[in-house]
Amino acid sequence: MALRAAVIGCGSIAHEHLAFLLNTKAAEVVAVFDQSAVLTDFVCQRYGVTQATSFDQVVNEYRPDVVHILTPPSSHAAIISDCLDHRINVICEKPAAPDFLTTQRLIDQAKSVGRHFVESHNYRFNKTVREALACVASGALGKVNEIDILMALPILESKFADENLKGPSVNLGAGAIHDFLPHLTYLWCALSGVSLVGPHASELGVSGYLLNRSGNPRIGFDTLDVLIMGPVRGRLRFAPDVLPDAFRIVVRGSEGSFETDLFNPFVRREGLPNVAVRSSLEQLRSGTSLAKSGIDNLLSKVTNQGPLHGLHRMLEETYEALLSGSTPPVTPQHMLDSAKLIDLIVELGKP
Amino acid sequence: MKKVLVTGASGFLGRATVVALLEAGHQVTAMVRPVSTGEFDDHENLSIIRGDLRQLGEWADEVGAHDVVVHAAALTSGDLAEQIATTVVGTANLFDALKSSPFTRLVHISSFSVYDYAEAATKNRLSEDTPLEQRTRDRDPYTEVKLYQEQMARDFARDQSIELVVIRPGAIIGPNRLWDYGLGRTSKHIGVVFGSRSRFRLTFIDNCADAISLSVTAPCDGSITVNVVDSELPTYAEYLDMCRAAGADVPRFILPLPFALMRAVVWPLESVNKAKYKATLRLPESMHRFRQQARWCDIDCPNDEAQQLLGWTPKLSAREAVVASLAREAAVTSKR
Repeated sequence: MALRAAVIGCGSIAHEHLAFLLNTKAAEVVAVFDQSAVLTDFVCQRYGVTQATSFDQVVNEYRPDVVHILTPPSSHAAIISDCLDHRINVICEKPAAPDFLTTQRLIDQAKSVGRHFVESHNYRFNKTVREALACVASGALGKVNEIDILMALPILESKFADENLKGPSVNLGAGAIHDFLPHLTYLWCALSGVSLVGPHASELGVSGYLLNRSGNPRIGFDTLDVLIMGPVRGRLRFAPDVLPDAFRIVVRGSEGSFETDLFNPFVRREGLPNVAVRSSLEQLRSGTSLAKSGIDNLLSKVTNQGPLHGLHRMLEETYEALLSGSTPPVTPQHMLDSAKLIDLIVELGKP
Repeated sequence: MKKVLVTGASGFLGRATVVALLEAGHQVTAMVRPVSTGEFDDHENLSIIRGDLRQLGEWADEVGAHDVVVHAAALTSGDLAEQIATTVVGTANLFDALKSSPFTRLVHISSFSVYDYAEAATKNRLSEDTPLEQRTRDRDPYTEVKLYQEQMARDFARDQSIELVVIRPGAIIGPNRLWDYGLGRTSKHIGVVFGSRSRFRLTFIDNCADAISLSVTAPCDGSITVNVVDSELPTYAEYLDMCRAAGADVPRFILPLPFALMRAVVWPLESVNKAKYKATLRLPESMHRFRQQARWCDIDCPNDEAQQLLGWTPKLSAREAVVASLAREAAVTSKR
């Protein structure tokens, strides 16, 4: 059995969602819609899917079981709510909502109509993040004490900072960074196991800065450096002006550390005190592992397995859950924790 | 004299087109991006509109009142989504803005990339009659987007009952755009010339701009399509020699790789790709059957139509074009 799926929004990420949808037996694409008719037409011609002319037509005429919301972030919440009103499951690109309260409201709305609302936490499903999560869960790193995450992307040379266009590039609290911030927060929450809406919530403090260092009027904010203090310490950073592009994650525990990068994946694990030649041997092992990663990454490039491979896994597991009636892999708790941490970070940018 | 609007006027081809149109005595409106750099020299027949086609704005009220629109705006690189957002959405916005304008001719700048090179190779001839590429996803985003954009132009011209001239230029060369002197992979000391014995389907920027300028007034009964490629095309190896002779800094050791040899390598690669990876491998242009063919297969490319329909003759030969390009680069460097 296949679920009837519709896609709203035909920007770059739509190509990834459609690549999954057109290659899975779990879904059948019934309609695609974007406010730009020409964009919808191009995408529909390219993928041989049906073009809808309005949102109303999507929900009322094509009656999908699942809607993928892939529109600009500031429009997500309203469309999610409309879909839930029509009792349609929702998979939405991040950030699904501008803040914690809206996220909570949408989750409540989904619950009240007996449908699921899933925010894309795609990087959590990437191979090396899964390895990190397994490492943490098995206790191989001991007690996790620190998690540092850095995303470095040249957004100042991208559409986010393009002054030929008018208006803010992302109309949300953390400006252009808000488009990437959920990746940092959901990964930190997943790896730390700390719930920001649970009993430890009050123990958590966030400090640091969220700045517009470039002065670009469209970007809102371009630099983030945040320290998290609590049961697990952390540092979340977004840098627009360093090379190479990176999405580096380091998890440090009482018995070892795990480091990976999601753009150019590798895994480096270290542990145990430095006795005799142990550290040197570990470095040799890391070197071998790094060389192997180089070959794997080369193959990944040729076989089209980019950093978004986790998205396909997330969608696959979400569809499996929807078909079997079980809970999707991105739960309301995951979304709420991430949204709460985003709220705390957005506060840093306020005067 | 015609009143001509040129979109993409801050781009490589758009800028040269503006200059050619002014030299031909037309009254030109150059549409440039709001924060584009590089101003035009003052000219009594030149006016500027600042706007970005990706986003409807004040520019939409200013593009009317022209006789001819030369649509040269397009993104030539970037991923598919970027190219759609710029080239396709930009074209749709422009056509929306032009719907109630009284202009009578659209000159649409398409590309050589829209052709089916497998078909052209079979006949060893690439002309305006060569079928368009159908296997668009086997090519590249630029081809996909330019094909779609050209169809938009045809639909728009038909709906508006205006004349349409479609210009399909070959590889445009000029200052700072000499296509790595025809080299494929290169390091400081060693370079590889792919398709070394194949002709490089080039057109010099000034020659191409002249053709576009002529297309503004050329006789046109409804719609014409014209390939713009220079005469007496050099092979890639000859082109490299021209660049070297003109003073370009090219590697000392050159490995020529004729197209037949490239082809021989592709067949086993493609078999492995199909058998083992269900044809999902993303092979580089030089190792991909269709993309390799589109760029490096030696095909006869006459420019008779452009000469006859537009009255065009390329003013500079390839050798002169290379010399002129490098001289202009040097002049800009010394000015700085």
